[in-house]
Amino acid sequence: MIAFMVPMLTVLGIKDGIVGTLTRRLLENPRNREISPIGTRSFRPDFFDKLKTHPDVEFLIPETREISATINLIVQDRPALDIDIYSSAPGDPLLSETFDPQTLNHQLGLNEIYVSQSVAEKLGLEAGTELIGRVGRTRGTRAEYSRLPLKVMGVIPIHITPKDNVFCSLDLMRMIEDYRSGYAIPELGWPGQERVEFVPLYSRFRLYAKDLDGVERLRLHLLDENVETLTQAAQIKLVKDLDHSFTVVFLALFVVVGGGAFASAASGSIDQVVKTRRSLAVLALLGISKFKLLIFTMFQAALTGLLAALGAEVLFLLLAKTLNAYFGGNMSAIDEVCSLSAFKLAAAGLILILFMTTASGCAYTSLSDIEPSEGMRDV
Amino acid sequence: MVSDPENFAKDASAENSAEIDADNILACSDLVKTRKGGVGYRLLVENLTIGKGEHLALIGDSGSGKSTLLDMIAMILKPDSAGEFSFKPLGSDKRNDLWRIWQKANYALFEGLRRSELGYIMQTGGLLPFLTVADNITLPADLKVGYPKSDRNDRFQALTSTLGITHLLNKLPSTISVGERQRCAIARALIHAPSLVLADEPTASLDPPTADKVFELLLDLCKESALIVSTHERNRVLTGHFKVWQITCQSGSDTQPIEARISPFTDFPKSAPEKTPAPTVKVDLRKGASSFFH
Repeated sequence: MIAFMVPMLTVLGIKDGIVGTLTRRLLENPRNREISPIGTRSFRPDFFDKLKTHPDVEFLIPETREISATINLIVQDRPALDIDIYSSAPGDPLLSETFDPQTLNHQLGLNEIYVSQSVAEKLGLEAGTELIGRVGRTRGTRAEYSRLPLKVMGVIPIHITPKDNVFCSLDLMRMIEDYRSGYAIPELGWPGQERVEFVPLYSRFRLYAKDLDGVERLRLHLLDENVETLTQAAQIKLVKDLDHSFTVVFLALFVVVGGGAFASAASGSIDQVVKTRRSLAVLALLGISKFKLLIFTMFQAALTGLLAALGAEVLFLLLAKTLNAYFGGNMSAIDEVCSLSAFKLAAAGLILILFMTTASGCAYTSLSDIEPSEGMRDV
Repeated sequence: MVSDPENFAKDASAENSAEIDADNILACSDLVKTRKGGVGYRLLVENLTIGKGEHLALIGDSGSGKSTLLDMIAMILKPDSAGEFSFKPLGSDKRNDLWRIWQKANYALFEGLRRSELGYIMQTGGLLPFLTVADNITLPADLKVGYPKSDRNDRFQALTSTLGITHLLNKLPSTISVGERQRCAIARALIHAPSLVLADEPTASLDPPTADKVFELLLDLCKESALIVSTHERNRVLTGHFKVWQITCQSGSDTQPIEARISPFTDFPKSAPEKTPAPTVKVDLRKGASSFFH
């Protein structure tokens, strides 16, 4: 029984461990839920206020024009780099996997940035590193540069942002755009034309749906608003297909291995009843009712099932621990190669016990149709 | 008690034709059981009764139907038909119509009668392998509703002492000999003071000296209870202490079923064995007694 139960638990454990984690990560990868507009548009703040109320929206942040969204990062003894910048805000899904909740909810100040792993590697940056940001503009024929001190608040792993990117506050991003438009930025001490009050316009945005199904709904919603968007439809289909395929494959494996386990449990229970048939007949002869004997038989099977389930689960936990220890170093992207929640372990044990109890009950019921006198002598 | 075998045969014939005594523990007439397979088999019990303290031996060849009859009497095998088939426990005014109970399928009544009024000794003891000898023996007493604990304990002491099995009480049946198992089975069959004790070939797997002792014990311990013993060792029961009945089979034609009938045994050897003395050891089941075996 244990020999069948352990492989079944292992199959389930791998499904929940390695495959479950991979699938979940693909499903949860914010890049797959990202929606961005195509072409050059100007979006007013009220567009964003309205869009944020859509039930499928998880996160939305405006971006300035692509042409002005760069910054030159300078670190001592390293060549300076021109990097694309993006705005970020608390709750940004791109950061949620990397940072702890406290960092994730931190509102970036004007001098605070996150950098992508590739930028960090090129400039030797890490969280806490201080550096200089330089923004240039051309006024007439003259090139002008302004600087600001920056501090790296965190590094975003390469699987989230594979390109050279800097994430800063929307305010800083807008100031950089304004500076490039020739305006002065008093907050940063940058010279230029005096800014007059005006409604800011944004040419881009980063939008994330709450789940994969919401992506299509948001795409259609934006299309109604005459906003064409780019989504990861192909990737989403791939991820969904993969999830479906894994589910089918593991369901098939579960049916085969689980079927074997439960068939073994059933035959074990029936065998047990057959073996004790003579004792049951003697007990019937001593005047114990069929109902009490049925309960006795089922209780015996439940006890055997409990011991088998406990034995199998202890062996499974040892096996899972070994697998996780062996593969842990090589597969750091996966939390656990093989794991099952306590609920699922308990459920598997309970199902086994119920199965064995039912099988023994059925076996006893069919045997008890035979006269007790036969039971006493046949075996 | 019957004085000698030949006289008993006459007594039994007379009794056979008589009306069933209201005090009989068991009474059956025209009891029929058929079995399929081969040409078939049909057992007919025209008239059989047993009363308080009576000892009855059923003899017949292997396969003649002794166990079938015992199983019907033990209420674990349903007859095909019956004229009279009734059971009256000792000390009770009520006669249970077993045939009617079978027809009504009121198995709870059978279970109650088996628990309280029946002791059954199987060929190989039939002890439960997962219980110790002591637990096996006390089980029927514990199952009998209203059976006083003091009676159970007194009887347990007396039986285990008389049967010489006190040193086996904490052992499992698989660790003791066949003869010892059979003595334990006797204790289990008698612990709850049943009205009727059935012993199905109780000495079949024992050596002759042990078999003799088992018979002596059965006779001595069943003073109040009625005792029916089935055996194919006829010499062991032609001692004058048993009413002896035999089952004889008549082979029919190739298509007719084998017909088995039960009748008082009359075919005694010309020089009938003298009645062997009854066991001399006094056994008081309430206070304990010395043992046959020690």
